[in-house]
Amino acid sequence: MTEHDNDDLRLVASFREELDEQTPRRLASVRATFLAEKNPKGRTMNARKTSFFTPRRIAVVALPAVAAIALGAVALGSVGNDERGTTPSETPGQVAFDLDTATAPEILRYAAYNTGRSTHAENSTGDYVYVRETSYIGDDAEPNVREAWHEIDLGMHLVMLVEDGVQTIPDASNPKEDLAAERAETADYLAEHGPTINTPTRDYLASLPTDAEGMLAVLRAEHPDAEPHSLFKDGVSLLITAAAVISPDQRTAVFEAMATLDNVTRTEGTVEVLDRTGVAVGFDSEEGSRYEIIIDPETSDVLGTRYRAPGESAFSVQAQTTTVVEAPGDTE
Amino acid sequence: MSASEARKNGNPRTASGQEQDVTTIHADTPGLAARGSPRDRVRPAFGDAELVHGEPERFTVLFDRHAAALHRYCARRVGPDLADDLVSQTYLTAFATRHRYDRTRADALPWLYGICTNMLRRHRRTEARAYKTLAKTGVDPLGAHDTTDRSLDRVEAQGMSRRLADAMASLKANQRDVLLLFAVAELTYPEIAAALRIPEGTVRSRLSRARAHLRKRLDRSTP
Repeated sequence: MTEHDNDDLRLVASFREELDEQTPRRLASVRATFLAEKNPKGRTMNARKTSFFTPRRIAVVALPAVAAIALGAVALGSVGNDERGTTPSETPGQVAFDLDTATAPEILRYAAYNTGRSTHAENSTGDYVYVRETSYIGDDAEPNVREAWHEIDLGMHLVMLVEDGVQTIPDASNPKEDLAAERAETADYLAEHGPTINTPTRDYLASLPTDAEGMLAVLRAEHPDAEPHSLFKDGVSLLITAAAVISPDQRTAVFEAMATLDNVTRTEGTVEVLDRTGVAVGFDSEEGSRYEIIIDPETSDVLGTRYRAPGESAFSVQAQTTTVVEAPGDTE
Repeated sequence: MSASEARKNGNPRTASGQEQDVTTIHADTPGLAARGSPRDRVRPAFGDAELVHGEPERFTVLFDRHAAALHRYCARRVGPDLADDLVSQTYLTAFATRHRYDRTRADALPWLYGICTNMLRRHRRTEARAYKTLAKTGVDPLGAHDTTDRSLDRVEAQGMSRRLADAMASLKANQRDVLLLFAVAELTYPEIAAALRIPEGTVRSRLSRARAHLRKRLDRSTP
């Protein structure tokens, strides 16, 4: 080993080290913030009394109640905005949550809570959503990667697709491809029918409710006679494709709404998705298939979805990441 | 005591809290030792596990013990303002999930870095944008200013910062996580594996790829 072998590490280690000087004088206020949130009695509760029914309140009320359910002490209302079991002396910041024993609704509500707690959620002003989906089955060593770019204000219209590194839309080798006609068709459809959960626009997404009941009503409006698993899938779709467009409060509402659906169950233990650990919750169909969403409940990040066909033992996994970008082809 | 010295004098602990004989690149890197480690490897009178599982008030001691290191790490990635929020949120999450902390892990810092790195993922674009701006303009939006007195040195340092920022911007996010946890946070391979919940082999391969990419990029941009 020569003296230059680790020059790269030395450079990285000293990069922006001038910023270190700011840490000591900032820590006092960081510490104060942490302690205030950790022990929110008094100030925080009083501040929240004036807006008891806000979505954030719903989230923080729901969690102590969920903890109480685990203890067999209290029954929680169906959408989490029920005041039963909650008193002003409770401390919403102190969340009891046991990943090992939590049920599917508890996991979804915990994710809802953590979505609401996130700060500086990045909502880009870009016009396209970039969804990168990595698909594999079991221990498949060679996953398929699908990269899609959707135009937000055209009902999430697919404008570009790259599959395993090969661009398939637009496809210059296809003389029949007419993207302009497809765009016009989509625009006509939107003009005639208006945006929906499955064909949203930015304004439509911004108008979505921030409470669980309202969000559930929106999901039901799309499928009036729908089974819970259809509503669940629409919620998942919203959390994935529109994740970077909707607000944290709306994300909270989606998780809360999904938590109210009947027959949502969790798979025991944890699930690894591309080196990240999550928990799988979802539905069993009558035919024997199972569809799940995989969540990191600590961050509320959706790591992906997975599906097991009837009679199969292995799941096919779709790990997704979503980013709002400036133009098709951009990835960040 | 620097990290390297600490490692030479007392072997670091594994994620499970056991002593092990680990030789990492840290120990062979004079620059890391010379600049002083942000991480105090001196063992306290009682361990982190005791603080995590003890009375809630004791958690504050855990804050005082590790918050500075976490703040420096975050500040270098996304700036001091966002670092304030991230450190506070990291500790709130840690406090809310403390019952799940493995009592056999004597050192809570990898656990905290793991939570923190998870939260940093929400700000990847902020981080990348800052690298790109610095690379393009020579001005760091995070407010890091070189304090070298001699103008020639300052020019050279600024040039290197721009090249390094360009290289950092082009790294894959998961490789950047490993690289910064290793070089800035000074975690060992097992500690990074525990923090990110990935196999140690993956840590090694990501770090190796990150460094190879970095060197290639820096070589290419050297005038």
